[in-house]
Amino acid sequence: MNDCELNIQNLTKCFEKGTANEKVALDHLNLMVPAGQFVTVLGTNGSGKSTLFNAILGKLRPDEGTILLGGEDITRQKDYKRALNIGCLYQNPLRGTAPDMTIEENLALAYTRKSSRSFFAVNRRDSAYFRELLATLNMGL
Amino acid sequence: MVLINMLISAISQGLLYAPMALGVFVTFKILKTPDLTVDGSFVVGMTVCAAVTIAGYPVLALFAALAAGAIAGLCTALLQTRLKIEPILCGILVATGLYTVNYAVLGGQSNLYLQRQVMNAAGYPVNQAADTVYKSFGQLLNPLGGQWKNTNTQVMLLTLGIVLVLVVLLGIFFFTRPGMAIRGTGDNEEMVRSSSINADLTRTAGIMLANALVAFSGGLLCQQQRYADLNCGSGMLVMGLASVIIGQVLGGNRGLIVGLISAAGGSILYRIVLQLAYSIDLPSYSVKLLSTLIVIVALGVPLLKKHGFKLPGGKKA
Amino acid sequence: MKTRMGLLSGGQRQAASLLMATIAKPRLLLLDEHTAALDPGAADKVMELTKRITAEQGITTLMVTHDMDYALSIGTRTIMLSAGKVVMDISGEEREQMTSGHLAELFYTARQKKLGQ
Repeated sequence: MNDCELNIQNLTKCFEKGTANEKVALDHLNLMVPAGQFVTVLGTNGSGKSTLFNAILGKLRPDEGTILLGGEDITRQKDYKRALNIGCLYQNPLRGTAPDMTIEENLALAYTRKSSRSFFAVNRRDSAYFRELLATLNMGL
Repeated sequence: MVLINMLISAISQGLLYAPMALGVFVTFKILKTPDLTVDGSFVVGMTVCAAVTIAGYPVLALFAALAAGAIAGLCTALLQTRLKIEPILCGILVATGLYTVNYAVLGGQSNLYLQRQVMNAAGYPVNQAADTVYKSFGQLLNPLGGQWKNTNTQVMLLTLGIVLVLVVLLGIFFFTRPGMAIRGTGDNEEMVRSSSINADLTRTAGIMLANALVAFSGGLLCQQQRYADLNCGSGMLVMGLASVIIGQVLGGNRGLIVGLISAAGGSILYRIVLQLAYSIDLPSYSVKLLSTLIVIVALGVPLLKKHGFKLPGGKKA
Repeated sequence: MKTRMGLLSGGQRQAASLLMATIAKPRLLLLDEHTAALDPGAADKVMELTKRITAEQGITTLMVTHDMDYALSIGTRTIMLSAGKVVMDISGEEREQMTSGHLAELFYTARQKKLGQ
């Protein structure tokens, strides 16, 4: 399956290797996800879900295996670099947003990672776009 | 007249220390990480400025102070981001190391007057006051006479101009993408990383900016008082913090622009308070204890409020 | 828009986070129990938005959940991890036949096995 958007091969991560507390968090895990597919993931605590996510996000380095995203090997890419192409939401709703900045400023920082950049982080055109997007959420924003 | 002169003098002092307060504002309120480099970077600004001023370049000297402060900040930032040392310890380490640097910049002495030796007509060496930005500005205003000839007024006006420019530039910068990224780093570093921004870099930039401002303040003070002194830096952080906190009490939590103006205003108000303290015959060495008390009260009150303590006077805090 | 993010409710902040995570059209979206900490009303709303935005943009998505109903009703494929491996991977008809009860059974068996180790 070469047209896989996400292609994880042989991913292995072992914590505290060689000690009595050795814990295999990822055991030669393979996962291929075609572009546009929505996969739900189940697993008990300690099944390796968080380790898998952290490895994809670049927050920890796997011992073995590769992660391809859109055909590009991102296994050893820095977390902030791969964030260009990966979005993530956590259980804690406070983790994804900066509380002391306005909604608009938060959106602008997230948006300008790819869009063309103007001198000020927020410009009028983007601002109108954000307003439109927020309205579609229908969350009173 | 005496009173007005005292007020002008206090405002001048407040303005000279305002860039330092802005620097402390950047670390404490924007990056939300205490940075104790301040005590060292203030003096490094002073000593570097003194050295370059004596060499005959008073304007360049202020930029040299900025650069020296930025380098000091870079050291602290590298310790924080690369070696993952506790931010507080990083600042202490750099400030301590800077003492030696500052000593060396002053040519192995603990203070230096802004003067240089020139040969007089008879061929004897005599000391001549080095040019400073304040001296040049004074020469510009002196022909106007009256209050314009007052040195304190001159210092106040020039420093006010400089501080206004700084506040405007900072106000603009923090709304550009890099500036906003620095604000985000203090607010929620994870969010910044998720936005594909290298948060180590933005944190480094923020700490460098803060210390550049602090050192610039040291440079201004050096040119105004016409000497540099190694012991000027101790307790600087607490004074900066006191200014920021006084500013916050007045300006409230109303966004970045108000915050910047409040920090600079807080510095002025703080000096006026000190001036008042002196005028009721508190000795000048009481400054530091006074600053400490201001900070403790300002930091402590919100916590006491949370726990429902009652302040004297029966009013529930 | 000019409101400080910190003044919003949990549901609003999570909706804003969702917007921020998808606003730059990423290739991959990871959702780690992103509605578990919200009150039921907000959770449903955020889940609806998640479905709509991922469908509109066609983003490849992995969503961790502990809710068996969500696991089967959202998306087109369900996988189960245990001891660092994919132990179940269903889609299409097999997934349609699956009930949340049966899935829960599989889930608890996996857990028992792990505890027994």
